[in-house]
Amino acid sequence: MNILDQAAGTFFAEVREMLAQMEDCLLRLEADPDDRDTLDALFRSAHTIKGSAGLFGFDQVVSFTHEVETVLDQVREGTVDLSAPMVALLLRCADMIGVLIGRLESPSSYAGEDTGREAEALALVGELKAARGDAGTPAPAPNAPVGTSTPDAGDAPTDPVCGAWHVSVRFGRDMFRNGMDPLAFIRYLGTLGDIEHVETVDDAIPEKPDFDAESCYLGFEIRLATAASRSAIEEAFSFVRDDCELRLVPPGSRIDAYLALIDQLPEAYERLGAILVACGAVTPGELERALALQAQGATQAKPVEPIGSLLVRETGVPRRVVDAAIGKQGKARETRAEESRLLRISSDKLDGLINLVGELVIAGAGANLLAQRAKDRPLTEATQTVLRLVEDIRNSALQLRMVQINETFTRFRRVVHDVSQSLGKHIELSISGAETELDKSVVERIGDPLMHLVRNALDHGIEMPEDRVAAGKPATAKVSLNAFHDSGSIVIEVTDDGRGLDRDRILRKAIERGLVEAGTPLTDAEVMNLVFEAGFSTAEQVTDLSGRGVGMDVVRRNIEALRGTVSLASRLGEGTRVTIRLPLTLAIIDGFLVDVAGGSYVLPLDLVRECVDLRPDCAEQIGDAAVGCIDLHGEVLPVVHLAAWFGRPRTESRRRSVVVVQFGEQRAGLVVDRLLGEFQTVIKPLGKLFAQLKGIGGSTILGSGEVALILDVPSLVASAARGAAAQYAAGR
Amino acid sequence: MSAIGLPEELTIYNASATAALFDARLAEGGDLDLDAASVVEVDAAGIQLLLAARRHAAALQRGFSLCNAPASLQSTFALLGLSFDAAPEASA
Repeated sequence: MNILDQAAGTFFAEVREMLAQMEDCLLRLEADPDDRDTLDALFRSAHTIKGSAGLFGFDQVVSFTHEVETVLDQVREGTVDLSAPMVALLLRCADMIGVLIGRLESPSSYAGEDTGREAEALALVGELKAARGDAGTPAPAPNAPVGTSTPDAGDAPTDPVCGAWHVSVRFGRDMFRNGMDPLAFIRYLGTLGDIEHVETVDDAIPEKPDFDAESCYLGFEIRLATAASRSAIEEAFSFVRDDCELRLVPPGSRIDAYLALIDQLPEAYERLGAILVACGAVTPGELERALALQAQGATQAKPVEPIGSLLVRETGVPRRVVDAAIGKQGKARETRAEESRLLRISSDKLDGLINLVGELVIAGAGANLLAQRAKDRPLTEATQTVLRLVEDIRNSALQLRMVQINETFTRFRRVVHDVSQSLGKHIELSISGAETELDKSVVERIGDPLMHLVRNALDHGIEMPEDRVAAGKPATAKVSLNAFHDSGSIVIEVTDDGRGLDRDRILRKAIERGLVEAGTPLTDAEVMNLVFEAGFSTAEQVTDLSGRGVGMDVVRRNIEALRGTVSLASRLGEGTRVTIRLPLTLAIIDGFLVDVAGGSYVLPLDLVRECVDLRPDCAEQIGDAAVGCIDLHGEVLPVVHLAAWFGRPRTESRRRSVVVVQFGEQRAGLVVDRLLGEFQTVIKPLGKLFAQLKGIGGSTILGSGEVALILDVPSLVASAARGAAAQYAAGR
Repeated sequence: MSAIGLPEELTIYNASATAALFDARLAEGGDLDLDAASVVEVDAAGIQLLLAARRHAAALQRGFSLCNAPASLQSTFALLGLSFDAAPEASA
């Protein structure tokens, strides 16, 4: 792979991120069209795509994105309204950019459909131009205030732009090293219009010992008379966007805008004031008055009033506007700092690290075991310390792979938006717990099942608005995605307030399909969860059963492959909730080691609630059966006798124990021969051959080199509950 | 002491070396009298170097001067609103 290919790989990844961000911004703007920050973010995304596509010479992407950007620029300047059709159009444009990029990334998969795409892109450009045209040039924009101009430094004035812009730029330290020459940017600005004045700001040049001739300390205050738009000026700096601080004050702004600028720049007030006067941006009189007011505040021994609030008092500018101007800047700085602290690492490297840590865990356990056998006290202590450290390393290594579920969730905003439009339903998506973290490999694989569930809720769960009103429900339906942590697992809920599932119909279908026998006593929950059974769903039932059950068995299979479970609760006419439970990680867990008839088994420690001795009377009650019930603290507890369950030879153990495990809301006891204690467990998947084994979820290697099986607690708990219920039903 | 001759390329490529020349002169206790006669090419790093030299000389209360600047250099100064004339500037 040559360097350009590598860079292109990064470019494609970046563009995808930018597209996701654009989409997110557009959807947020649809809800709140006045959100300036989001609008700016949207514009930046489009701009970045165009800029980096330009670097690679992807001309088609550049020219298409340019059209999008032009419209966005007009939206920013208030000459084009961000209406709902506009948002929809822009969303389609974002998709088109994705297609164009995809075609560049893997030309083969898009072969043969070129002409259609070409036409589609052209059509979109036409629509963009049309959208621009009808809302475009005519007279004053609707939000143009009469008499006064807006003091917000970020706002372009609405009168025809042909005055002098003030361009304030501070270049980053690495400019020179990156091969950039700030002079080139200034000369380029000269091609956009007439540079009236440049002040070179050299205040940041440090004293001699700290001065590095190869670092850039320069800044410039430039007065540029041009008819060019804000974006055209910003464009001049597009190559160094992340490596400079660029601030623009549009023509015709009052002194307030410049005061805000002064506030944001690192140099002293007086110095900046002098610079601005030299540029001709402000008159000495104006400046003197503002600075005098500021100084007056200081001499009165009041805490120095920031220029922002001074403005509010002096000019009656709404505080909101000023706060926005200042707060925005702080925010931008923060995000940039945040970004620079992030590191992009190939996930292969992380996987390699996790594997090594896994081996380390096993090797550490082996050393510890040997030390214990040798009965060497200091050695044992030393290995204990090592083990503890390994555990810490393991935790931080796993932490590295944790990502927020946010990205997966926000994807659904678009889905909900599109589906509700195409189906004519009013649906609101609410998201909570988006900051919940889980393993990257889990996040990657949960997307499809989630999509399935959300689509089901949208397509079939939610009724048409008129039906909802007729049923006495609000016309706008609600679908919510919620994620949270719960005892070692992450829970994801997909909830809708749609028509819900009809218990009797499900039961009828299930009996028809031979999934259950007629007359089997089933709880509501059990009936509902029949929809996850393979063979339950067929196409003809889509409408029959509120459409639920479409590929639900696939959803369950996918989730079970992640060692998770899925369940469904629903009430007819009120809605449905699907709950997915997933383990936090797929690699290494804290395990609890037990002995059953001479073999070692591991349980996930997070699921263990308590351990109790098995009382003789209880032991008698269970007898030789694999499942049964015992009395625990006065409550009935279903138990699984592991030795019997796995068909191990019965051993005469003097004292057995019951490990009480909990999964979700269900509890069960596992009868074991001996408790061996905590054990860091590196999960090794079992081969396909063992996929059918009930109750076993994987294997691990003990310090001694022996293999221990990892118990699949969810399925054991479910079996215990089922078994116990069956026994009662049989009248035992 | 004779004037320091600036290199043909007053750019990032020579910036460190030229800065070392200045430092050496200041360490000897001399003034920074620079001769720009041979400068053909200049970039922002070169300009910054001159600005830094002027600041550093001023900080040590030494003299700073620049002579024989060719037209190309003059026009860059003009573009950036800079002046390296004998009279010390207000902003320096």
